Amino acid sequence: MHIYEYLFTAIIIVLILLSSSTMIETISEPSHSTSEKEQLKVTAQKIMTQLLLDPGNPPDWGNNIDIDPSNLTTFGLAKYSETTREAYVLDSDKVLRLNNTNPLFIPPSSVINLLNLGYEYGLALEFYPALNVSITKTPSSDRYNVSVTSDYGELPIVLANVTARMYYHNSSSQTIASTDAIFSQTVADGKCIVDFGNFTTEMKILSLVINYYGIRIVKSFPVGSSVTQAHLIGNYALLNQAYNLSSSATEIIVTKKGGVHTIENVASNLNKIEDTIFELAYVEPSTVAILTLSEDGTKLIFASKEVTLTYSSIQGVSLSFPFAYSIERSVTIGGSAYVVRLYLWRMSW
Amino acid sequence: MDIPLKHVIGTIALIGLIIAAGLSYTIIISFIEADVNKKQLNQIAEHVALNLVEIISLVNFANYSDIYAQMKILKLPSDLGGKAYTIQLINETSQNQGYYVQTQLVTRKDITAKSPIPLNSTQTQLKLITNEEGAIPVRGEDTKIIQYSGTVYGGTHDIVVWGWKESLWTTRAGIGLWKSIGG
Repeated sequence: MHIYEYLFTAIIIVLILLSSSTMIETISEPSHSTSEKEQLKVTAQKIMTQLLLDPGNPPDWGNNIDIDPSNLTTFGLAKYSETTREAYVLDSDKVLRLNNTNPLFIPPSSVINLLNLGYEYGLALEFYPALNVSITKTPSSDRYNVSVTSDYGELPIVLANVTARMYYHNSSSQTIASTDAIFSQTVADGKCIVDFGNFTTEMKILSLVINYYGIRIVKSFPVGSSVTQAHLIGNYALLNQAYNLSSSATEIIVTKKGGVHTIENVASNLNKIEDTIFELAYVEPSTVAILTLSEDGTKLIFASKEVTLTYSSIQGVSLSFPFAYSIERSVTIGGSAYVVRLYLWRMSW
Repeated sequence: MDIPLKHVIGTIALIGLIIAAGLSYTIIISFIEADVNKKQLNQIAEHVALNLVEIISLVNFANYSDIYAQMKILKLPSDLGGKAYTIQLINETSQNQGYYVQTQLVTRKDITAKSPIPLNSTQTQLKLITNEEGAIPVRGEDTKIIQYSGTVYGGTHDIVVWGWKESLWTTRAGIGLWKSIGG
């Protein structure tokens, strides 16, 4: 045997070792990948269960404005009640505190920490109504084309009962007035028209209740340019900038009479706590929004309990995560039907 | 028979190389096997943690105390490729790690996986049993009982997660075994 033959044999042995190692790793890779995804799925289910079925601790953390992330010991969004509880019923105040424009915003880092996820996982939550509701205004008139479509595929929702009412600033009495409720039903294209005539003021909002075989959606649209959005948390109205407000407020409530949803209102009083925080004397359980006027009568302040929002541990990233596992559940928030979608991903594999 | 020195050296070198290749192959296989085991342990830990969170939610839904516990029997593999494993409930809230389920191979303590339980404080009304042992009854069952412990062996039959609303303010939960009384 020549020295070259020994070298050749050695090279063959090394090549056999390398190729067999590579083959083993390659063969096991698909099962690894499946296993990782399966594990992410179970983790997402675990997080979803905690978020939707646990009220968190303290259980009133949503409406108690004295509670900040440092006082929270457990995180959950379920509605808490001393007597009865329902599954997948969320507390609107808790969900509203996930809105980053809310002064009582709970940062995602706190939530990740409270969920004990460490630096391993990132998450994002989406809350959106079970039905899409949009309006189109007819120019120079308060006539609105209400469109109701499904969440999936934007299919028109036919025969949905629509109740509409407009709230506006009455300049002669310097109060918040309202029209009568208009009752309508969507037709084959998922649309219907609600016509309030013509209000010249720019301080007006349109409240809608859509009921489609028990699926209730409440939407309020600021339809004038002089409407300022505020936040309603528990008994408090929170503003993003200081305003002097009128001492009276109008609470918009949704009730059901004779099987038909209707929009009504009750009066309440506002007390100034700080420049941007006002306390309502009482908030009806069925309140969906509050309205008040700035003291100079130039702005309509509107705070709603609607919770359409996106909450992500990566700020500013749109919800498209190629390596995330997503899971969704139907929930009820403030009597309205919503969909919650959780995206969970690993920070490293 | 004269054998040139270069043949002796070459043959020894080849034998050495073959042995080294065999060892390398074994090490690579062992590494891959450990990786697979770790992933399986991870899945088991996640499964136990998920069921524990679900049973806690279920128990907390009842706004009244009870003398009986709720439980769920888990279907888990008896071993991982012939290797026994343990499931532990660990409380490391003092080290900011919170509660977690840890699974570990009995023969190789370095192969371990953990799944956090999304509850982060000892101040909550929930008490997870991590280092106590005892027994707790289940409604409608006279012959069997939950024997709870902070650690259970994976090979054991009828591993359960359980929750008990001890009072209006306290819920206890943990892992254990569903066993015959006296058995």
